[in-house]
Amino acid sequence: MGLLGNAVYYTFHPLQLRSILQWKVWHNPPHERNEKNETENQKLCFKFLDKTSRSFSAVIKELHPELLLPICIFYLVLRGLDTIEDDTSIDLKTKEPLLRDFKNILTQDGWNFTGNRPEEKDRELLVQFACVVTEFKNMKPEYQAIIKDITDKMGNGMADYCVKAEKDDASVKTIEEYDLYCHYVAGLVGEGLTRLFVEAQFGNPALLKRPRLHKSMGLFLQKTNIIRDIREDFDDDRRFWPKEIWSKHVDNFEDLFKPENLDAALNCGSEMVLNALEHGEECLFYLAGLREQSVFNFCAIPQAMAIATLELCFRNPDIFKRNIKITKGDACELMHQSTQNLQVLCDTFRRLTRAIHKKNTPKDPNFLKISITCGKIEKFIETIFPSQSAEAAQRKVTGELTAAEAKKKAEDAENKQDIYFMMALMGTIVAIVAGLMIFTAWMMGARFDLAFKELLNGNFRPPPKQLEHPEL
Amino acid sequence: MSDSFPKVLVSGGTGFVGSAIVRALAEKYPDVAITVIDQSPPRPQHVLPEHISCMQIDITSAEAVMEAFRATTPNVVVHTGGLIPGLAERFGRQLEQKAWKTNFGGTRNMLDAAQQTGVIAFVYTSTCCVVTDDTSTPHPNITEEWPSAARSTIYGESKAAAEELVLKASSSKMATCALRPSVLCGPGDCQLIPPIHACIAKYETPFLIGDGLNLWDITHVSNVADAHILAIENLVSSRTAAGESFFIQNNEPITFRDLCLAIWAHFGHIPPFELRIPESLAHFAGLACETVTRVMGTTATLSRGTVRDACAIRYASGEKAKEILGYEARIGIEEGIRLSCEDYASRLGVRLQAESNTRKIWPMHGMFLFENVGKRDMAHAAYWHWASNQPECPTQINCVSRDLPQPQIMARLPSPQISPSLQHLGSQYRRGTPVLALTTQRPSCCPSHFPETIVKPGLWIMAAVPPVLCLCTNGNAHSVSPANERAHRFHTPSIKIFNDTGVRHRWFPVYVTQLASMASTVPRQ
Repeated sequence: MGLLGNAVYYTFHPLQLRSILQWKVWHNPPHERNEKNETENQKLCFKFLDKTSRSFSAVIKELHPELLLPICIFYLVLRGLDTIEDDTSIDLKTKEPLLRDFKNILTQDGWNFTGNRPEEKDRELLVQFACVVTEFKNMKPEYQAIIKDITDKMGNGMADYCVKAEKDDASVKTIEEYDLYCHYVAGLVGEGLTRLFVEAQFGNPALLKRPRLHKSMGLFLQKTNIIRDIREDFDDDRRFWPKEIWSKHVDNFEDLFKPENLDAALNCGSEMVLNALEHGEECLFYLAGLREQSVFNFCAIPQAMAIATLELCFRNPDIFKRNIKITKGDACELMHQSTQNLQVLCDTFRRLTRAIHKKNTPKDPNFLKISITCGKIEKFIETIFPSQSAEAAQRKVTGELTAAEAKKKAEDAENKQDIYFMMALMGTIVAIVAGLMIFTAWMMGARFDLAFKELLNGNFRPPPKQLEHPEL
Repeated sequence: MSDSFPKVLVSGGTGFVGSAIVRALAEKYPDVAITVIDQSPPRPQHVLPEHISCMQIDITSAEAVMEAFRATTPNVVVHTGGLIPGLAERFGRQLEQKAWKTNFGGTRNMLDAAQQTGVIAFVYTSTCCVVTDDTSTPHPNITEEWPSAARSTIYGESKAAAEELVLKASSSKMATCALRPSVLCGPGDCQLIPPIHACIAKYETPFLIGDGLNLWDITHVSNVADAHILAIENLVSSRTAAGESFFIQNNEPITFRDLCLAIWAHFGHIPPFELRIPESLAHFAGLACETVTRVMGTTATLSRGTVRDACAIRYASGEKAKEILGYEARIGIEEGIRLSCEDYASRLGVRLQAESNTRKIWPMHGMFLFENVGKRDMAHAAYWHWASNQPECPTQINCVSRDLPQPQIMARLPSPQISPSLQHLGSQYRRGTPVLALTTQRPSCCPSHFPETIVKPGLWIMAAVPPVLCLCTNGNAHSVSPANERAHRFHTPSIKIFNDTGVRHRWFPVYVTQLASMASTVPRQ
């Protein structure tokens, strides 16, 4: 869309433009990266961050200085792993040991990899991977250990997947496999980040005692992407929707995209959304455990985007035709709402959950399940931010007032008294003035007695003027 | 535990909730002697187990209640009896005196009699209406700390007063507690599903009053029965629940509109369009209806009360009941609504558009296809298949048909390989999840919480404690009798399928009953 297109679009969608402007004008990053104090090597790392990810680099660069570099490096390491795994031109014999051993590569000075095919978009990162290694070794040993551990788990997970893909088909069959796949690609990142947050004392240590929570954070994002990208993945011959779900609705995966199966496809899509939505409650629970604003923003923005994307995809036939995205204006609005506090984010979640609920239809076999899941999210939000407390209800019954209410009542009474006083004063003045005028008139010979008499006789108007006697 | 309460008296035991409590109690504690007192004799829609003595007693008569207590000398009393005004009278005041006489006076009589005859535990079936019937304020996620409404409906007011009486009576001699179930559904229900179903015939389904976002708690009656048993157990042992009230519900709030839509969908009706009516407008319509019906002397369907009710937010936090009683709903609300609709359809003589009639269990990992699970043909079948080393191939299917004189295996495929799946199943299900496994081979690695039973040589049942209705723990199924088998006969077959990824479909109660009855006839090897 060119400039003209944009202009036309925003003329007819002023709210979208408003959201974008609001975000640009009012968003204050909690922390800003200080480029002056950075070494050349660090600058190079941030350059790669910008290159490899548009959506993540912005939020990462606003992180607290303590975690800025570790999370940037963590991201680049995982991106490096991903680039090796995604590249189908590397044969398994090279790929498998690389993936499994990637955790040791992190400490090998000057390591780089030039075996990627030229069209691989993040090839350059691996060619200059030495810069990542250098920064990795400069990090606190605690952070190093965490990143290393996650790299180990993820590398092995990817290697297993590649081996399985080589031997037999790696398409996702059961929901359990689907969860496991999402856990490897996103859940582990959640685990690593949580450990980093807790290590830096930006997160409640209890988050580590409930691994389900950070797992849900990752799974929620990944599942949303899988739902949204169904068409794109299908065109690239990747299938992440588990057979256990789609086989309930259509006989062959390809049938989902046929117009005559639209109803079945929509029901299938809504079951996928239901499956993702079940993590919603735990995501909010997790976000309640974060203690630092920039970390909260970092986690909350993707979650808000995810639930908005789910809302967009829910019962939307377009997902089977093309890749759909939330509009830029909506994204800005969501970013604005997810960088305040948990309560504002919860309101957003509730709004979007209700929007999903609104689109739910009894024609769907999972109608009630979706309704129950939406209800659960709403109930959970009500638990953390009650709209009415028991005490308030108690007072309502007893008729007792809180201090604030009592004060307000007293103020109201005072205001009322003031008003009465003013009215009395005005009345007095009016009475005095009127009295004076009547007195003056009387002094000048006005005949009020005659006037009253005429009034009593029903003559409210002065008598018509008599004609002058004509000149005789 | 049943040694400490050999005799239980249940008031209102022939009613909807009461009979469910009696059934659950008889099932869990077969040795306990249960007496039912109720003003009406046993009713066909609320089946009671055998060996239950019923006394026809009006609880508003203190003498009659006392006499019953003297005659039976119960240790535990469950007081369920009460007057629930029908929809037409619910929001009016015509029945005020009667409601107070039954709900409050009756409770006082019960309490007095219980105190004088040495009852140790007194469980009162209260209602969430003691709080939520005050429709002037929303009730989101309410806790037991919320006050009872001073001015609500005749039902809410009289129950609230009675509840207070009960809780105050708790002492070291007799522990009392009150359970406040939400709106109920379940087999035999005549308060919830029937009026909602009736909207279809009246073409009222497209009209949505209010914003359609107000959440409601709904509870399946068997879950409420569970809560009562947990309350009894608590009051005769640790007594941590003494003097306390508890909200009891499924803890799965759904919007009232969705409840209606789901019920209509079960009866094959989907509103052709939706028309939103603002609450204020509906309120006036309700007022108009009330005036007309008052003048005409008929009963109102639409009234200001029903409008406020349909727009009310009423759901509770289940934390206290979970913490103190250990209560969690065993039958999910989705299944609960389905069971209720099926039951109501059979009472109406309507054949539901049962999806089960042409049910296809789609080819899956360990696939098989099953079609045409009809009502009367080879309906009641359960399947069990174990994933063998070769996926995509079921190793064994066992089908049991109700219509055969003895349940028998209809089909069996070769090469049962049990161990991996069973272990998997064991790790996946918590204690208390209804799970039943059926196999022809002695399981080599039965998880510890799967008590096993031999049904007949070569056929084993394993059930995670407790299955939906019948527990076959040590080879004896105590509570199976024609009466309660009838009670649990649902007219559309429901099937639960286990495979190595978990539970697919529905739990199948009849099947368990029959296997259990077999279990009682076949000696343990």
